[in-house]
Amino acid sequence: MTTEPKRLRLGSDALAAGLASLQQAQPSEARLAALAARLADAGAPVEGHAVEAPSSTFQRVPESRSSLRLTRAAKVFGPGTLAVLVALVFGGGLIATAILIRKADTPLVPARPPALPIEAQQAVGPATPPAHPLADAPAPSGAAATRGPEAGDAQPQPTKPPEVALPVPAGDAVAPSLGSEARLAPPKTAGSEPSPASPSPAEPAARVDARPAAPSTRAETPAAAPGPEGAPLAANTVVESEVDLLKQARSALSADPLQAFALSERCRAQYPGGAFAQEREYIAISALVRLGRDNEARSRASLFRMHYPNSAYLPRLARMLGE
Amino acid sequence: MKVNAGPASTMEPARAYSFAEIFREHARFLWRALLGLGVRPGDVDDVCQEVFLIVHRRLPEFDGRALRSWLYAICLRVASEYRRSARVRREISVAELPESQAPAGQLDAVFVGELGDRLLASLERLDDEKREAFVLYEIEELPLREVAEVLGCPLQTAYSRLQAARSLVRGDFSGSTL
Repeated sequence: MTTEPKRLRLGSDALAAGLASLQQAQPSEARLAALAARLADAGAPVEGHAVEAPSSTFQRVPESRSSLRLTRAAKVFGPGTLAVLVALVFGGGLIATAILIRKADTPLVPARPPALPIEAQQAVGPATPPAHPLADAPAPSGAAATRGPEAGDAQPQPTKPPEVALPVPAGDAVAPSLGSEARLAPPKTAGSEPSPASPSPAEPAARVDARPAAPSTRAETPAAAPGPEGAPLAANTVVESEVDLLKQARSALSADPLQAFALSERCRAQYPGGAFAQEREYIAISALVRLGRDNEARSRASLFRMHYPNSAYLPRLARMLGE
Repeated sequence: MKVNAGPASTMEPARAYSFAEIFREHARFLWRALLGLGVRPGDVDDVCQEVFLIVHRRLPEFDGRALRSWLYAICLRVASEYRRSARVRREISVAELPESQAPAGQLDAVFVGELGDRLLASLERLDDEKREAFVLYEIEELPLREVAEVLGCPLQTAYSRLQAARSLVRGDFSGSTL
């Protein structure tokens, strides 16, 4: 009997991270809804999906299979512990930064291509730090902080910020070949144009329309969404709002730091001026430390200090790096 | 689709599935698999639609066993046809295409990052058999036995294809760091 080879994704190299990226490449609810609508038009109705797709289908997203790494972490820690962990990490200035960024939402366009690989980022060095709008984020306030992630959590997934927001430059910088291929691809029947005959959700159209205005909507989306507390974490992992990505990353930190790092990088690429840049960087640095990549962790931490000289994370970062 | 009654099939007893249920539970994974199987981001929606139209059409004759294998097998066939036709199309009409851009919302919806992109490029160099084994095992994370089931080959063959694919892909990534 042939034994199951260890999955490459479980490695700790670039290939593992690439695999993790591809595994994350799942369609948004809006996109699925559009697909369902097209199927209905073509005589293969998906009951319920096209009409009420975005929010309701999301709730029924199965936890099946491997895509939802978070569930693994949830099993290790138990959902309660996980929630507390996430709350702790996100607690640092989450609400405060969210509010802040809405006040000062100017520097949302990154100073450099948002998703440079980490080597490139570090080659750039401290002289040209990423332009995050959060430089002066105040220390967190306890009550607001603990509530933070949950509030973001409840963002109705169908809006799917990444799709709304991903600026064209990011796509170009990050995945040139993919982008150009996509551009070359003949549109055929566009996924975002479900036929008028079928009751399709507003999201696809809204998603496309919203793109030009992307940066500010991106920053606001995660923080602006109120919602039920205590929703199970795992239920949200498919959708990739900034908060969701970071929650996944945070959850993966202990069990799978590489995955955590990949997710935080993905988040950085998708939300270069994101509202939770500090949280993201903190997670990324933690992951690097856990991966034993101390030099990278340190140089990233020094960038962090430059950008967020008043951050509440600084003491923790120093402890983590043994400083 | 011929599906043998292996261990997984016994774990997954035959039953009836509704089309909506299949869509709900599997669409996102099949969609993702198509991406790994070489369907270009701007085309994934179309190709995925094609997959589900086939699923819809053939559901009545599906024996209710090993649903996932059945779905992936359809996916593989459609993707394989796509790759063939895409190659032809590319050869013929690259010069004409820049005007016909995909709607903006489509192309940026697929974001795989630099490393994901590199992996896709690497997969592009594999032949179909290796690529399929790799995608099913490493991205979709099916058990090897199920990979063999989908590919319609003996377990050992699936294993060999996987190992060959892994070695080629590893070669593409060797020396690179995160």
